[in-house]
Amino acid sequence: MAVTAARLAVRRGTFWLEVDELFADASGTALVGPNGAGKTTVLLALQGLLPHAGSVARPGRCAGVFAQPAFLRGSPRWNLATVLRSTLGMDERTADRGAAAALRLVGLEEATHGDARKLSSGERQRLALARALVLEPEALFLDEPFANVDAHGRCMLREVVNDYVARSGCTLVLATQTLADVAALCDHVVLLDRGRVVESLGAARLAESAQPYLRALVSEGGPGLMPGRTRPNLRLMPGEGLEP
Amino acid sequence: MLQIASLSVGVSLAATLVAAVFALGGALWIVYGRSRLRYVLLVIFNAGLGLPPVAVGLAVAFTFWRSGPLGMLDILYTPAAMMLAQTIIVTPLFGSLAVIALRAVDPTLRDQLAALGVPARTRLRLLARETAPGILASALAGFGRAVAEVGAAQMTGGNIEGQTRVLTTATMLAVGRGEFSVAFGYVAVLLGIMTIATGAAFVLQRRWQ
Amino acid sequence: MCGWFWTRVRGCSEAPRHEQEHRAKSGRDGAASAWGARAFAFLVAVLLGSTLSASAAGPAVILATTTSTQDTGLLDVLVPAFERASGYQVKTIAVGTGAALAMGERGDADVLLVHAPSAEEAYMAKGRGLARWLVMHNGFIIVGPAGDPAKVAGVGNAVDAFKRIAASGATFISRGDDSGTNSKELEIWRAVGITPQGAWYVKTGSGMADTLHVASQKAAYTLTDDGTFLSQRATLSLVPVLQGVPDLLNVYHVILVKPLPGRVGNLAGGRAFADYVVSPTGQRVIATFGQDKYGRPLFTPDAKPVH
Repeated sequence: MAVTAARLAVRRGTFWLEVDELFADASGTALVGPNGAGKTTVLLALQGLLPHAGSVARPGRCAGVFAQPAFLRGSPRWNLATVLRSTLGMDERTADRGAAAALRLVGLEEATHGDARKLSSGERQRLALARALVLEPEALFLDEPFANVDAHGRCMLREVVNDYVARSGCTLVLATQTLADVAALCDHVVLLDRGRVVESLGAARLAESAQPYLRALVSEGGPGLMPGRTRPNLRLMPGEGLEP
Repeated sequence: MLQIASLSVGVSLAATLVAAVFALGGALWIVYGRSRLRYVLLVIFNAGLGLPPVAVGLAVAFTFWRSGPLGMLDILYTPAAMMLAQTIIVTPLFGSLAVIALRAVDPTLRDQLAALGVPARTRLRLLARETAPGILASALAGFGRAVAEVGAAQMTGGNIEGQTRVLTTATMLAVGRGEFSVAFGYVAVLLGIMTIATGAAFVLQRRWQ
Repeated sequence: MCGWFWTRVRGCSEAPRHEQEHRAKSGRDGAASAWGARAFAFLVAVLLGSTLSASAAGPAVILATTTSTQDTGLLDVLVPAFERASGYQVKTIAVGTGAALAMGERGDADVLLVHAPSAEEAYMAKGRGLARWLVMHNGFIIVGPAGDPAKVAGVGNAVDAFKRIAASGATFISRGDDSGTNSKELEIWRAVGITPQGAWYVKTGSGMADTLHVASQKAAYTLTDDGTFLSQRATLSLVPVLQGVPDLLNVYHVILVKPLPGRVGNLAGGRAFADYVVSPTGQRVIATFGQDKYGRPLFTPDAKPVH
């Protein structure tokens, strides 16, 4: 099911955001723009966490990843299991098994025990992603989800998200500063600046845009990196795959 | 001795538990509420830290002795009066420490759990669980203050043998009678109680970490 | 139930030891909170019970008395004996004669047991007492350092003894706390005709035993009651320098407080206590108190009703 917004207006303190319309589905919509443009605000409003004017529609089961993930007092595994039990009403055994599997998925097997709050920033982002995916949501709202993860991990995690979206048809809304994220996961790009939508276009046409921010975004990726969903050089190295 | 020690613990523990209701309620309002009045409460909590316990004892005694405004209730010189005085003494300390404990929780945690579809009641429970070690430490500080207090306990309880004699007032009486070894005995038990309470809190916090 | 990502990770089965560990931990947590709830309920019950346990005969009887009757331990024997005999519950508040009389004036006590005759007479003159009866007596003693620098020993009365102490400049410790002993001490100074002040006159504001210890430390003189001195003697370096003279008599009376209208109180219980301490039974308790511990009784019973 898609995520849509119509005549969305949000006020956060002195910051005003106005989005005429927004549409996202499994093809992936990226929100890009400079800091303070309103990317996080849009994500929060779409998830119903901020009071807003206008209408927002989203599926029943959503999951969000915040830029600064926060966890409960307990092990990573316990954190995931608790979310499974609380949201999906799973029993303990199944929730625990699901938690363990999700940790393996994002490469956090070693960090199963110990306090989740003591993880490094990269590990926290992996855990936050695992926490969102473990629910098998119908819509994913990701806020700069890979910013602190190492390069190898970033590739792996993008692949994980990609895979999930492909199999489940989950809607993806992704706020990011990184072209590689856009390239791997999104077919549409929405450029925000100072609370307004400046441009909305297909990812394949990013290179043609006149917008300075988008040009900067594209040039950062380096030559040969063209937006598009399935890119050979974004797959994992042979032998590292999670695919059997 | 056992009777005196258990009364000490019982009265102070009950006072801490009752104070918890007011302290936690107040702390939750201060941290999560919206009215501007909550800062008045915060100031009251912080000012209450400097409140001399003996002043509280005098005020309670003054209110509840037979010639006082609430004398008809006849509760002075009972454990209940002692508990009342101790509750008043403990609440500001417990409350201001609880505010610190609540503020230590990540403010976005509530939203992040909501973003994952965690239902509101469960969110509340989980957030409460997050604050538990800090709240426990606050409760322990409050209990320590209550159980070690002597001035208010003497004035509101009267140090009546078998009824309102607690470790602190019994110590003062023993010293007044020159029975120093007995006094040291009471003090040792008091220290023992504090050690056990602190130790128990420490163990619980370790288990929760 | 294995979702899409579970199939990706080499099958669904999990290491069982993690599961058991997890289950055991939550079991302990559950037990702890149940125990905590039970302990709390027990505490509340105990507290409520002790508060509401006013005796069947009405509210408790509040006895306001002096620290010396409590410090000697007499009340630890006398009050329980009365409670057993009468069924009343007594709350003994030992605050010192001045405070006890003030409590009686306010109606905060039902019966008083004090030892400051002039203050008591003033109290009765105000009409705040229904009855005042002589209960017992013992003696005050002047104690001092073994060397007796003021040469008090051998003097025939307390007034001359105090005169000598003041003249010699030896240190004198006063309780300064409006107690019966302090009242007596000030009475003697009035008879001497001087107001004691200066570096040699030290006020402790404390109970008798504390004051004796201070005097012992400073090798000073002080006025004490017989009973407290006996009980503290072993730890003191003081010796009696004057005792047994008529103006060192320490007389205790029981006063039945006249209730104020509209106040909680237990007149019947107060009257029962006053009757008890002057009754042959009560007097016998007083007469034998201290015998086994000190070899002689600490008080001499003298009851005869005086109005």
